[in-house]
Amino acid sequence: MHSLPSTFQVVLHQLKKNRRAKVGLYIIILILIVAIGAPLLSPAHPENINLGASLQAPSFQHWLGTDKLGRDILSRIIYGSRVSLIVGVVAVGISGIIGIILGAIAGYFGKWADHFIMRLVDILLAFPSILLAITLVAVLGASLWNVMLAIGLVSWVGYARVVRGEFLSKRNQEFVLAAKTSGASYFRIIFRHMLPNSMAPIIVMATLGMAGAIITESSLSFLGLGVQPPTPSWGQMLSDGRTIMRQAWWVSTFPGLAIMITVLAFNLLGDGLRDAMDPKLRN
Amino acid sequence: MIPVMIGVSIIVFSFMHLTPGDPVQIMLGEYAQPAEIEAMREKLGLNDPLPLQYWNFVRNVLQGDLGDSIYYQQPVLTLIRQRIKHTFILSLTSLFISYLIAFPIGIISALKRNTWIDDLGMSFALLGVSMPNFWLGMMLILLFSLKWGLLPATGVGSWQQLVLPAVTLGTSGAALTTRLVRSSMLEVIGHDYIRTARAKGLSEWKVITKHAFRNALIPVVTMIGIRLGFILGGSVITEKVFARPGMGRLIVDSIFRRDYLVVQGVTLIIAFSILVANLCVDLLYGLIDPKIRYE
Repeated sequence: MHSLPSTFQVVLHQLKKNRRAKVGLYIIILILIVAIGAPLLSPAHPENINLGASLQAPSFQHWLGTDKLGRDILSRIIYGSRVSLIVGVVAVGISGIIGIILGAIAGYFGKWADHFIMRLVDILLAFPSILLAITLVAVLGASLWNVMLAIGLVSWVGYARVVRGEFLSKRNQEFVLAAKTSGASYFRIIFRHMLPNSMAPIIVMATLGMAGAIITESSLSFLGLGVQPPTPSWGQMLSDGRTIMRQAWWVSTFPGLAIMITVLAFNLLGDGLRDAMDPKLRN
Repeated sequence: MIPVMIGVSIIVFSFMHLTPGDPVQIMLGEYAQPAEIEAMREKLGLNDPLPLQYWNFVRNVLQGDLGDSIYYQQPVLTLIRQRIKHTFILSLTSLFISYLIAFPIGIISALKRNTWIDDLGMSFALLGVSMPNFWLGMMLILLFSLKWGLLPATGVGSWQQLVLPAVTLGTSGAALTTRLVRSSMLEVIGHDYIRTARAKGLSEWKVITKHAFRNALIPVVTMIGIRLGFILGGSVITEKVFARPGMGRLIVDSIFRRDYLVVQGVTLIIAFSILVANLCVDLLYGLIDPKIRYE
């Protein structure tokens, strides 16, 4: 007898057909390799200052040119990939944990808990998240950790809504009722039974969240609230080049391209995953 | 809506109280005399108990008094009144541009689903949201202002000065709407009434525009409120890049100047604009979708 394919298999099958998602995935794998192998791949040390070689245009010696302090831009971009990925992962982790817990409570317990949490969500949705992130970092002080914390704290709303929706629809399904009848605790029902069955949309949100976090980090850096020098961060390299755009276009152009390619890759994958998981869009 | 507004006001109110250290000391700078600081605390009512402070804050806001800016020595409301126009013109133009990009690409991508045209269209739409807003702005300035001298890079007043910032902001907002148009078109196209429309011999153009698109529009309209919030947030950065004297730039500058009353006032106005936009969308929803009626 043929058994029905699991959700995971269906999604994987849909994903294989989605060219955009595949391209996104390949680029992300490539960036991961670059980030891990940074010391082997970069031609120079990213923090090596050489004032004699300041603001050199792209050449054979410095493929992407040098910045004001004569640092090799390619090397800084290669090392900067680590910062961007870390910011993305940690920020997504923070917002995911907050959002999943609050969404699960709202969706599972319903009633006043749901009412209270959803009002909180409505309130936060009335503020542009970038504005809250700017205010938070301005209050906490600019550092790598505070940037990740701020981005995480302002972007959990999406996860909470998704998880709540999933839980509401699963609350009365047989597998949950069976777990309840067998005497499983709330904790066990939520984390062992319901959450694993709600992972698909969470993974989509997390993928798109990586993209959003990397963009937000660069916006904060642009305002001087990002990762502080000398740590090479793409956002900060980009804003460094802003004042000298006319003389040295390469200083901010290449880090910008690096951000664009990385974020596009996450968006392509997230978008493809969403399509793959949407039963309405299957053919 | 009322509980949400109260929540919003509590968050805005707590801005000043969350800052580590004495906000008055930070506002007046390190050389301020103790007497000055005490006078300021008294003037801002910071010596009152917290609930009373909040009550006074709400009462003042309801009376249209947002306090005075320390930096500008002017009422916050006056500062906002001078700038709100520029921000709304930019936001609405950007919203318009993002729909101008999103509708054609979304519809064509849906009709040519899983072809290279679909891939190209959706990748292009995603490209907009994948670029840091200010970087796109910088690149546009570099090309259109510095290199080719076609459009002015900064300032407000003429439509030419609106083009670059509106394109910058509009492109970043287009991706989500494009995706939404595409997926809701895909869903609608599968319905029986589309087959019926085709079967009765309507031209493909009529089927798409009159039957499919109108129904696909419903989820797009409901997103306008959220889009506006996103765009108002984006204007914070865009106004800074293009040196436009709007509310976004005012709030960022004020955050750095520790001009708390301005930060509170502008945030409050932005949050209420978003709430009002969402309310309008809810009401509009009933008009577009006859299935929904409010009692």
